[in-house]
Amino acid sequence: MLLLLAMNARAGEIVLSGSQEYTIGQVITMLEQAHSVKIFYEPLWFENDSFPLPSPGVPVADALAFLLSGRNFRLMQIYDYYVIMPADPAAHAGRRHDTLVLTIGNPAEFGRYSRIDFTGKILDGVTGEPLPGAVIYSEKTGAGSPAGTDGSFAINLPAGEMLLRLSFVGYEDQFRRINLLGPGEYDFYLFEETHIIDEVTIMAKRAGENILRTRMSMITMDSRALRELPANLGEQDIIRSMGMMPGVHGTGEFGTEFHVRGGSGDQNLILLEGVPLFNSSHLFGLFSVVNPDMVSELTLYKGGIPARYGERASSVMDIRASPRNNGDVNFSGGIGLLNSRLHLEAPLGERLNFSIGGRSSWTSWFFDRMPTEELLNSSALFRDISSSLHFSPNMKNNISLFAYRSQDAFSYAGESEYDYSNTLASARWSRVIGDRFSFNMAGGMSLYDYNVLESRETASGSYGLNSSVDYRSLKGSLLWFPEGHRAEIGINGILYNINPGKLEPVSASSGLEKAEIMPEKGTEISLFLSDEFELTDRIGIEAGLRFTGYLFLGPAFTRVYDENQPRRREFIADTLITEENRKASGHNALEPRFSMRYILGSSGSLKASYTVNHQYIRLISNTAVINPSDIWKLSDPYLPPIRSESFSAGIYRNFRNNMIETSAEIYFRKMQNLTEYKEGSEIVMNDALETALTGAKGYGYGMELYLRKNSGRLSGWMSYTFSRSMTRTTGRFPEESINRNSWFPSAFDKPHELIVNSGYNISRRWRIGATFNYSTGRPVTLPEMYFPHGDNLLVRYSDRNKYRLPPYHRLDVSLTRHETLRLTQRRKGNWTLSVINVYGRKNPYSVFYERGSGPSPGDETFNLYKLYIIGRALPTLTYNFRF
Amino acid sequence: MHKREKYGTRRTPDNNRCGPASRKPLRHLVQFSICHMLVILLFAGSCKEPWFPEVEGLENTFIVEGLVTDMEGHSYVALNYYSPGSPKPYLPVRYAIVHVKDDLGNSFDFRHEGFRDSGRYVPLSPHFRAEAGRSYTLHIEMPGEGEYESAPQEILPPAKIDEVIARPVVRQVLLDDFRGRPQQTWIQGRDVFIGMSLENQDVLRLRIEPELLLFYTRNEVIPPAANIYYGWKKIRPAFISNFNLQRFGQESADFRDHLLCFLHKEKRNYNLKPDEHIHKYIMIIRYYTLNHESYRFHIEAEKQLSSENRLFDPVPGQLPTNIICLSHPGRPVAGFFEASSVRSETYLQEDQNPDYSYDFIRVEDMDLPVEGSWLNEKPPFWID
Repeated sequence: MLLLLAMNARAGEIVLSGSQEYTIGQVITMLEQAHSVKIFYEPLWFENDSFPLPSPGVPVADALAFLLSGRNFRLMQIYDYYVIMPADPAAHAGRRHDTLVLTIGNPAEFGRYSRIDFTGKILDGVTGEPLPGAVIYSEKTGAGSPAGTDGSFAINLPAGEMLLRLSFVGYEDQFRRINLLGPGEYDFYLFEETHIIDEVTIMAKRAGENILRTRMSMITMDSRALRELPANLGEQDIIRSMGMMPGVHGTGEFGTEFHVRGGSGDQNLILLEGVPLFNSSHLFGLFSVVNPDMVSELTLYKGGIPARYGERASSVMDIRASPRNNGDVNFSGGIGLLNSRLHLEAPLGERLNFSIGGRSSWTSWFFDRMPTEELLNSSALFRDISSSLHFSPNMKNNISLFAYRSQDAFSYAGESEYDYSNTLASARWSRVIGDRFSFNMAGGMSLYDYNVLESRETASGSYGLNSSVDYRSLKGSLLWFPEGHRAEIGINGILYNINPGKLEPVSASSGLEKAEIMPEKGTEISLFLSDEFELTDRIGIEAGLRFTGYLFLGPAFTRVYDENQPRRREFIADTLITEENRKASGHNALEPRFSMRYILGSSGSLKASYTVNHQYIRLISNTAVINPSDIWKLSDPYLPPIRSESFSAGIYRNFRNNMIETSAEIYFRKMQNLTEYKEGSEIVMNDALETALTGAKGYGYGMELYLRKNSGRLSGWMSYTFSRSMTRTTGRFPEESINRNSWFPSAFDKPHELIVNSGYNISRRWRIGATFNYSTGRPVTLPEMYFPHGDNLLVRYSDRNKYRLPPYHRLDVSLTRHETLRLTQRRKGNWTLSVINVYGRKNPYSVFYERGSGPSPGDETFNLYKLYIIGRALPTLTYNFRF
Repeated sequence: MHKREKYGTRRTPDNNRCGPASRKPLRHLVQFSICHMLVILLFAGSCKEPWFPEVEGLENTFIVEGLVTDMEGHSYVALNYYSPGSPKPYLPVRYAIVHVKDDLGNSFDFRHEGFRDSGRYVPLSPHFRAEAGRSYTLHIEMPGEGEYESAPQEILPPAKIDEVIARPVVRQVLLDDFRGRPQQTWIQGRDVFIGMSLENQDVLRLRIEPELLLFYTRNEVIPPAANIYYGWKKIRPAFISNFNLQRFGQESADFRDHLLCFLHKEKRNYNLKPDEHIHKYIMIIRYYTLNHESYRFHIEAEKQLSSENRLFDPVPGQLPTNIICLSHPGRPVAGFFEASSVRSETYLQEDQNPDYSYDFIRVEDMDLPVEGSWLNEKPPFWID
């Protein structure tokens, strides 16, 4: 109705003509629906205010600015989020509603009682939960009473007018003026404290959003949710933490790789301010490269991926790192076990915000104190630095600049040196055009560089090896907000330049010759359009279509193999040469995207989605764990793009006034044009990589159950995932078939996973947390037989991935103490003591064997071992601070 | 006792990395380093633990090891059944009918060599030798059980050794102490390098088996007699099997400065007594010129032997086999039938050169037992 009323608005007009006025809730709801944004505010701040209805054609920022004009509030924008905050937070530290007088009792009984029994309940203002232990207190008489287990209180007070104070740990104090005339009941509602006003708090989250939004299989985390993630070695690690979400499998203690619904790690597009990360790990996987301090928001799309995203087959993780716009200088950091970090955010004038931050390891400190010469000559370090700039010249234009660089270097015994780095940069410009359009333009680059220097003491076999990925992209999109719709059309161009490997002898006497694998070049052009709208009151639709055109460009050598022979070098029949920038091969694809939501009652919904994705770049690896030396490879005549087709459906239901969110999703995925490596294949400096690979296809299915409690002293989530991921090679010859071309579990197949993560506020300062993780062991290939050959015993392995590691389970606990909660205190710090792997479970990370001597001379034995990374309870202490 | 050596740095002078340690692929080195790093960084007892998973034993898998060469006395076929439940896991097959066919249709019968605990077959004719340029197929008939056959294997002409040279080096090694814990030790010695070539071929693929023959003397003075022992001892040096690894796909028909083995300077490493003095270092170099299939099998086997399937090692690959069961094609077979040309040459280390290197010169082959000595008289093969 509000939208219909708004139809008559003229462009540029801010207020709808007419005298009708609305509550803040009504106005905000209209703005959120019209502009597909989220607006955070505290309703009590506007409890008695009424507002005119802005025109939907007015940009939301302008509309909000108009609404707040004359009031002592300010507006903060974080992408599509708007936060209304008091200009003077201290004025709202306690909600003094003492101007309104609450009358208790029958006015006809005025003067009848000298003392009166006043009863009622003290409840959570968001969830309606009772707050046992909350106190009601009369400052005038000194009388007070605690609330019982059901939140009820009973207090005997003198008749007349007085001020009551209601308080509870973790909640804001409330002052209510009452006029007590006779016995009566009243229920009070308290709200959680919002003392950290510089971040988006969970209180501001739109209740029931998981039910109402059309998209499914989506995980969003704001800065507070990220901050409450379980710590890894003392600090939050947002990428590794994704492994704790339903449908997402991590790799345990080591490695930042994660697998979404049975897909490999390279099928996840990790976007940092819009540009992809090609290696997300520090120290080969001990940490992720994303500094948690710089992240303002994270969204992971597991299914139902919007049409504006593509490039990868499984998921998209969109990490945003914009500076917070709260008008203050914020300085945060942490001192951890292996590294320290600092982050600064500051306004540069009214319309410019700036942030810079970084981390650096101090692991070399350990090596300098090692007792052996080899380790003394070893080093391991990582560092990363990020900076962003957000400029709003006016209410219609926003410009963001972002730069990032991470670097890892590692050497062992002075013999081999490895280093790899990520360099990212992006620029974005968004402009509001008229009253129904918004234009966005973004450009970015990502450069991943890997080097190894072998034997720097100039041995004849010494060499330097370099490989790199250069990614450039330009993206433009136009958003259109016709009535009840949010339509988007855009184009995205990507240029890939890959250096698969350059080998150079580092000494004149090296026995190796200089060699270079032909660089690869490819372009990917995508056109996308989508529309999100409400078909009926209950049915919401998001439909989209993405077209991708891919070209593999020269210079390229395309080998033609004898079709009647396995693909081997000796069966090369011809070689086709493609000149520079000419098409060597190409592929066009349509990717339909569809999501639908059906509202069930007031707190539930049914959702379904269908997504097709194509992936033109993949990581070629024949190790169980992604490591820096793996090769990024573009699709070429022998490697058609990975195609993933997935269907998901789910039911969502919230309970207790959205305090508890639940969901159950099922999915099915079909994947084509996957690759498996042939037995014994070499991938480093292989100029005919197609000879090392064989085609495969796969499918996955599963069910994800999720339960989350958002607020209250006890909060957290629990998820259970059942999933399968199977693969099958399609080779025509025995050497191109794995397990005789029969279906077998992929390396990412973990049928069962249970995650329980919870936190409990013991008091305002103390919080205890616990995380339990259980998952089926991952598939492994084990020796089944040893047989003699010559003087050696050789191993015959099982079929690939025939067996499994033992199940993985681990319990971590943490205790956090906040130093101060005062609003006026600039410096806020907290100490976190965490114990990882409380009961010392030796979770196997991988399996290896060692050869040994048998009982008789000449006998050789094989012993299998489990390698575990953290084999006992590991305490860590971290200090985090913020100015 | 088999000792695994992991080589570190301080090589002087340059060498070409090869052998189990140096042939480790890139990620093996990474893995090795990372394991140390994790231990240091986490000090959390990152460690290993024995694991005994239940695996399906491939009972009654037929195991074939076959070799035909162009040298008399070097061809054999060994047949076993895998029998995990029995006291000996390998049951020798003594009743098979074995013969090898060439591409001209000639058939060469093999016979069981007669030992009860052996499944080894040797050519019926003691003068059998395969010819370079011919292809050979192994055929095995197991009465009542089935027939097995290999893929044809071509014998390539033999390569030739162009040069053998040694250079002094100091190595850092990890040796197990009496508790089985690896300890770092610096050792002096010599790296022996070899240069080889192959005419009329594009790619040289070799399997080399070096053997060290030590001549030593011992003076034993028991008054009034003063005895001199002239002894010899055959030892497998640090690398017991060797391949010219085609690193990064760089293939060629020859190679230079290929590290063959490491010779210890300290005689205690050869189990010589304090009063025994090394007189001469002699290298017996047996080398097989391999075809593509044989090379691939050996390289994969070598990867297995040098790799331990650790964190960043490639996921283990199945060893190729070129033998199938004709009568039951799905029946599991392990092993390989190799056809290659083989040569054995003997080289004597000369005195040190001004540049501190040592040249090796070729001498006549010596057919000696593994160990022995003569008292007060130089054996006829003795070299002064």
